[in-house]
Amino acid sequence: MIKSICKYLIIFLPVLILLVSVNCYADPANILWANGNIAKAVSTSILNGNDTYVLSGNIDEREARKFLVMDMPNDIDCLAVGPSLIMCVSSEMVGTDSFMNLGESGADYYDILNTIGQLDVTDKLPKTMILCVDTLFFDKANLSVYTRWTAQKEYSEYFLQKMTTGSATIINGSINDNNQNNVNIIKQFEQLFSLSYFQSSINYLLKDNTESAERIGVVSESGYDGAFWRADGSYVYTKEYQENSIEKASEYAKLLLDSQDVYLSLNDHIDSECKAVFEQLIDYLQANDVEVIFYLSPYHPIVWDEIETNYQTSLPIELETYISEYANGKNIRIIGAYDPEKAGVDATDFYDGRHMRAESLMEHFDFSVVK
Amino acid sequence: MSLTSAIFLPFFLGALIIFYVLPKKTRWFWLLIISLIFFSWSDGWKTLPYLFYGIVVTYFGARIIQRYESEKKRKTILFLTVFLSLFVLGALKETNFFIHLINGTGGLFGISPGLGMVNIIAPIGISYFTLSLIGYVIDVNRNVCKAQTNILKHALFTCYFPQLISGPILRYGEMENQLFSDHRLDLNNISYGFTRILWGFFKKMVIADRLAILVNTVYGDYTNYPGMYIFIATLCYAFQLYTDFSGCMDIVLGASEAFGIKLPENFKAPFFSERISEFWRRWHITLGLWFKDYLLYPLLKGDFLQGVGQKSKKLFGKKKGKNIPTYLGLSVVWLCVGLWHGGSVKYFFASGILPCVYLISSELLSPFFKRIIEVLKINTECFSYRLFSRFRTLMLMCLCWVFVCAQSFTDGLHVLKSMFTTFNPLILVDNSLFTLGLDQQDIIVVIFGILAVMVVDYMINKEINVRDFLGKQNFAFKCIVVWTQVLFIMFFGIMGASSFIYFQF
Amino acid sequence: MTREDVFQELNEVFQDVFDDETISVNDSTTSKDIEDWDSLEHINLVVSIEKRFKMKFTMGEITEMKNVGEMVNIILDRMVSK
Repeated sequence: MIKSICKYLIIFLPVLILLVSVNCYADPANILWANGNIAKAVSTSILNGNDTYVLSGNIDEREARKFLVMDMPNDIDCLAVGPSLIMCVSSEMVGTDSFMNLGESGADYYDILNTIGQLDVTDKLPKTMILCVDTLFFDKANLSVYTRWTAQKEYSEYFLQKMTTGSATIINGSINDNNQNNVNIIKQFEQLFSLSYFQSSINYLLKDNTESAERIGVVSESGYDGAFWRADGSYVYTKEYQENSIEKASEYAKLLLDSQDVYLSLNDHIDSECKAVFEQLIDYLQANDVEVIFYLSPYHPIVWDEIETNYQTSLPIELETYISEYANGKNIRIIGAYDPEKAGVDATDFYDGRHMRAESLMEHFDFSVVK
Repeated sequence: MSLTSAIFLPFFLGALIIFYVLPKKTRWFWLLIISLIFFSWSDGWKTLPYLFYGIVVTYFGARIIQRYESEKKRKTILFLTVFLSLFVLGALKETNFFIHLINGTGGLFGISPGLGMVNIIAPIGISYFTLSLIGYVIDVNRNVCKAQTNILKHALFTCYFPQLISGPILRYGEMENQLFSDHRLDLNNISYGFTRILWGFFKKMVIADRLAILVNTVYGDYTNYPGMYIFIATLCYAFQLYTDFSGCMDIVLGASEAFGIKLPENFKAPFFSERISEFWRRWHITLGLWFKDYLLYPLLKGDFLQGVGQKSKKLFGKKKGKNIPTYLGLSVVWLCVGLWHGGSVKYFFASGILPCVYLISSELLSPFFKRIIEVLKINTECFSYRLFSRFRTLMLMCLCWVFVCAQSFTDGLHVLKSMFTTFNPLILVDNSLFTLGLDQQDIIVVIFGILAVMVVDYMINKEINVRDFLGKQNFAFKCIVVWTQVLFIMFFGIMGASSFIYFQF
Repeated sequence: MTREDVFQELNEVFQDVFDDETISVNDSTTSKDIEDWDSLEHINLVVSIEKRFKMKFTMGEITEMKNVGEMVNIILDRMVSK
């Protein structure tokens, strides 16, 4: 009897070990170690205090940001909110470890409302919020072009209602829906022993197919050449991008102008509804004891010169005027300026047409919120 | 629940473990429970009434028959029971077929009855368990076995889960002792069972489902794949159908064996048949045996055909005359086989009419063929002749299967026309075969698989007991055999494929 | 009638049905031993035997009998019960 059982084990166990180990090692759909959700895995890694990267360099930033908001502690003093322009701002610049950078590429009107809506729903509005004010918020036309905000729009709807009426409920809210985010152990168990998953794993290993799967990793002491997120949510560009020469940056700046990128909003004006909501937002934040700080990210001199010369009535110019007036009236601190000259920066301080180098941010601007 | 679905193995393992843990006397009852669970899981509980109907009708029919001595009374009850059972089967399966026939026939006469198709869902396995039940009642009438007095035990015979979906068709006499015995744990049963299940999975997932890709590509678009393509695809279908159905049987018989219950074989190296008549004794054996014992023999022995025989012997002489009732009997039987596969004209033709034509013509033409062999001095005992015979049998069956693969009977005719009117043998060598959905690796895997199956079938044909043969080998060899199959399934098994072909009957 | 007598008569029936005068059957003969003895000829054979021995097999017996020996047992059985 024992002999037979041993024989069965000898036959059966290697097969099982092969199946399970290949599935675990390859895990092409990231189900076993990230429950299929890379964004969640990234945010978890960040919140665990790790400098985190994804192999492909791409994740759904909005998903990741949502998980950051959901899972981060509710006593963070300072948050940075806005588009990619603010993503490099770090806790070092801000002067406190109680900081999280919630910036995401191309954050527009709804994205920012989504973010702050989520913060409001989870009761995590900070003591200080550095808000990157940018044309993106005030340009309604872009909203139909770039629609990444739509997946979480119930939060903007909630927040708009909350600001207006004083109370609101999330209708399809999933921020408190633990089932979605909890590890689905049954599914993981199934995939661990699944033959079809095994075949996907083999395919993944043999063809080294990184598009069909993603890997996240923690940046080790020896550093990492790709882009990654720090433990405070701030972003570090690829080494290559960081080493963009001044000429290269200027090239990017010219390209930005030539392509008439919609993000420049050269042919648009401040939307009145966006403006009204913006003011409503600031009022709301201040009423909830949030100290609001505006960050105006400078344009590359080449770009700004062009705007000043040929687009004098465009959104960027309008915004520049409006914001300084508004901030003055509300006693809101402003860091930086759209005009690079006013901000005290030049062509050497940029990676490209709009994004300032991290070290330049450190050098030229005072982000510290600690008094 | 498909036998190759992810849920079947855990279900089966769980059922097996509990089976051997339970006290011996209750084990048959547990089999009944899991069989009912299996039926409901596969089909939903809405079709359970059909199952219960069959169980109840035949249970009472058999018991009443047993009670009477009078042959006339027994026959009456028998006919009633059989009629009630067949009626449901017929109604479920053939209604649309007959509506189609009526519409079609009306069309021939310029009338359009315009009957709409009815949406009927037949429960799984009804074609199989109905035959098993009718066979049981007839056997009780013939005093071959005694009627089962426990309706639950009768229910187990009816819906015993391994054979529920696609057979084999059971004989009560062979199953009674096995189903209700002690079911002692014998590790040999378990290991044989599992090795057989593994072999079934290999055939189905590595070979059958892979060939299906090629077959579907060609038959799905046969106007663009004429001539040799169709020939190759049909040949592939032959092996697909065989590995699918026999693979299914391996899983079924293996699973049953693990419970210590041996079910009858349904295949015996059919592609080694040298004659069409032999083919039908090696393919879907239990179906052939059922129709032989319960339809053909009673017909041939019955007064009507005996009378016909007498008259025809007088008319045509003894030798030729005695064949007439045989042909008539065969025709009736094959018509019924066609109806059993039924539901549509193409199945009726491919599984009923055409095989019948083959069998009768082979009988009629056999003196003619004998003459040719004599005149040309052909050696019928040599390997090459046997190979030729087997190839001929395969080709004849492929002709039937053209109609099965096609969408309909008329489509089948078009396919045939397309196959014979285009001459493109070059596709065999110009890599065109790699454009049909299978790449080089797939084709190598399939060829390896078919060779493995043929080796095993060769042994079966020579009456070598494969598992005894394997049992005698060293442990290392056994490991290699198992691991090869497992690795092939893991690496090359087509996942998430369709259910078994014979499940639809 | 003795068992040998039955076999003698049976041989004649077999030779007649299968048109082969060399056929000789014994207890263990089965359909595999005689070339033309397939399921179709089986009924013809059975009917011929029934005529010769003036008895009838039941359908159950026809489908269940495994070899000629069993056939003979049934024939003798019928004779006794007469």
